[in-house]
Amino acid sequence: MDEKLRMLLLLNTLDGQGRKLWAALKKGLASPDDLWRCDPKLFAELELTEKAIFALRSRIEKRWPENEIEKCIKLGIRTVCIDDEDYPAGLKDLKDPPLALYWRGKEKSLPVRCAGVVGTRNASAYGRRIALKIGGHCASAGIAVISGGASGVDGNAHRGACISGGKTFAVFGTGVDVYFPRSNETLFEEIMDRGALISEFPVGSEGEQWHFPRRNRIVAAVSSKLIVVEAPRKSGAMITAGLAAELGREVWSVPGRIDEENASGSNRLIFDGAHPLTDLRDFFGMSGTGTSARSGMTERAMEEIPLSSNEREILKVLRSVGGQTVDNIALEVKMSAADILKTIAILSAKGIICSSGSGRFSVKV
Amino acid sequence: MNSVSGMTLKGVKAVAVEVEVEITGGLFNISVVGLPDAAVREARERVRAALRSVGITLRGRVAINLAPADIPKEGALLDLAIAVGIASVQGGVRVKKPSLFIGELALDGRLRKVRGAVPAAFLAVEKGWDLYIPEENAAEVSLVEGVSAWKVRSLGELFAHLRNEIELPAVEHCEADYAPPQADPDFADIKGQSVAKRALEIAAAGHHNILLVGSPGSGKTLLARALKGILPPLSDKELMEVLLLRSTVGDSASSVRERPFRSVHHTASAVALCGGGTTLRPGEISLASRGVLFLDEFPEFTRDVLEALRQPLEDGQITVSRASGSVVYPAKVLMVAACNPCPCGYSGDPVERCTCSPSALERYRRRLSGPILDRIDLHLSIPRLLPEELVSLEGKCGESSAEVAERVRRAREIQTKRWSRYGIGSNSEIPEKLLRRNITLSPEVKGFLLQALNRVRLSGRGLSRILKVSRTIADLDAAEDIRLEHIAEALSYREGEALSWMKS
Ligand SMILES: [Zn+2]
Repeated sequence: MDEKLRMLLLLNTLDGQGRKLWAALKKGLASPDDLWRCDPKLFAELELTEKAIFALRSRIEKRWPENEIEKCIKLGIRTVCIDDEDYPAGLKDLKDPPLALYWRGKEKSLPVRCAGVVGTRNASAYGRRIALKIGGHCASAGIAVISGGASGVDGNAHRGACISGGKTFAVFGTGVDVYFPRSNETLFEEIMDRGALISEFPVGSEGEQWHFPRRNRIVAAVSSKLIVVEAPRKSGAMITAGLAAELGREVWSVPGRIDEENASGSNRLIFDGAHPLTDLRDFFGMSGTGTSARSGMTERAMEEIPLSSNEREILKVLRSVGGQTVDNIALEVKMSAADILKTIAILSAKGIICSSGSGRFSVKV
Repeated sequence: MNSVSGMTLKGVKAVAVEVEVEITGGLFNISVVGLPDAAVREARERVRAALRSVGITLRGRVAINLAPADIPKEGALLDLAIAVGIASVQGGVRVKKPSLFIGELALDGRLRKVRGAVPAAFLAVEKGWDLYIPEENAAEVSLVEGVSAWKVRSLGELFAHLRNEIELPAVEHCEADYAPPQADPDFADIKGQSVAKRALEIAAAGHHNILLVGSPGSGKTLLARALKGILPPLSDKELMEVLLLRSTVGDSASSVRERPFRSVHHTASAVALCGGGTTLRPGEISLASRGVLFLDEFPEFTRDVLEALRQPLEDGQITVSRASGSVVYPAKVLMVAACNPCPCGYSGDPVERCTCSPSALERYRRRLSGPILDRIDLHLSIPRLLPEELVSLEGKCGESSAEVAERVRRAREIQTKRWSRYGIGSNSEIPEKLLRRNITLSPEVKGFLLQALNRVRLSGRGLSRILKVSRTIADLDAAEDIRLEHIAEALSYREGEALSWMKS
């Protein structure tokens, strides 16, 4: 079996200590044999911690690297090491890049243009809608969507990309074979089809609390632009945004209502200098190109599908303010409630509008 | 001597119980034989005291036989019959004609209201007997045609009547009021909610069960109550069925043509909901028959209870059985289920924030699925109106319940005409076979439906429900064919749409 791969997988589990060892091996200060023998002199020279030495010893004894490689082969999981051609270039900007990545999916490497989309798991209907929309637009613009595979903002960004036939990659805080949350299982399968599931954690790892900040640094590093959709002050998305800013990535944030906890972090980012995402045209650099990205889908839909004057009128109301009840709309247009209802029903059946909350309707994105 | 009869209830049917009394010498003792339950045995004490109040003091051994002996007899229904039976042996009272006596005795000889007066009246009519009832039961008995009944206030009065000393007031037959009952609440009193009102109209017209999803304060209960106000008034046949059931549990109606509305709490047991117990009482689903059964906080109901509801919802009747026998009760209800969109109640609200964790939401959504949902044709999410929205709706009252009820009545007429030869009453009951054969869509409408189905996932049953609901919507329009707008509207009430914004 490939000795280098065995070493990297092993050292990858030791984080900083592993990187120190790898650097020594690369510089020729130590030989692989010193590592396999657990040479005490070498370890002392590198000032490895007791804990790391113990972990190394027991894993080598248990033939962990060999077993891990076998597991990967059995489950169809690729491994991408730090020196490999497919290793994401962005990760090298990190001071603590993972030595190896587990990779599961059709796409063998990350495309050049990647956008990270992150936000709270507990997103509002608005947040989920926007995430879905951003995912879809990225896909149409040929940009891969990177996110964490969680529910809420993450899941919808991935989903938006999938629906629009684009590429998308989910970075896991668990092993790539451990689906979390379970409810996203079908989504993960779709992501494998359109991109890949990526993790630095060994096969079968459960999602430990400390894994997720580690995962976030990967999302930040591989994305050339990062969009925060909805994030409370204290959240993983804010950590990701902070890291992305440190790494010199472009950070965008979707403005939210100022009295909502969910938007407190994302709004703060804008205050601190992130680009406010007020129009998707800005993000995709398409200002003035004529076709509006903001309402691209609906306007295209309007051109393709012949609409009655009633349908047009209601669309106009919903496009100016979403989340309306039929009674609200009745105050705006000169139609009976029954006619509005019928029109709304036809527009939903045609897929032009959708219900965006309890008894409320918005234009579909 | 003419027979003295009381009765006991078997389901909604009264069964005659003949009271035979024999008094012999010896020390004083009363014994009751013939499968009496505890309440009947207690009757001895009440009857003895009541008889003493009219000057009849019992002496010797009193043996009371309740025939037929093999039917279990329950409750205080037999007090009066037993008292009359004894008095005709020892009190100089003569029963001139075979008669049925029902009533519970107070110790001072007054008569108390009993349950089952209407079944008793039907029994009396069938046998051609006279009927003596407590005065408080007179109102319900007066609705039964052809009964010759007398109102009794006390034992003394009854005995005086039987001795030809006074004439008791007879129960006058009166027709049930044909005027439709006052809707309460009226649709016009409910602000906004035009979508919900429309869906209720469809539910009422086609007898479709409905699920209302909405945050606390969105008015689910109010809307559910308003549903009975747009249903047509009870017909004579339905009225009798409802009257019988109400009488069986001792419930008298305020406005007799009003449809029942029963609200069931999620802590209710399967027995309370479906009927049973040692006395085979009807459950809430039967008491709501011909009216509305409201299940609030629907996901909180246990699986067992919901499972028990499924068959009766399908059959329109329910068989309640115990060791003591079995009874079939009607269970033809329009079911309104209601629930919050999520455990905290505020998912999808424009102002309040949902505080539920994703896993809690997932669990909730799972509980909201299941076999009983097959019986629900209309799924609806209703908005919680914000104060400013309520203000803007001020003074804009929509149609009254009476106007909507008229459309419902016409749509039901159309359905009766179309389906009566197949033995069905409403669109919700159309069996699969008839559905495919009798509901045809024009190519244009079919194309529209297929297109919509490409976007939304729908089970076979889901599709059938959409067809049935669109048939009802077309009937409300008095349209011969199902048009595109009918299908579109039906699609908007489909399963899953009500919570579509919550997905993931
Ligand atoms: Zn909630």
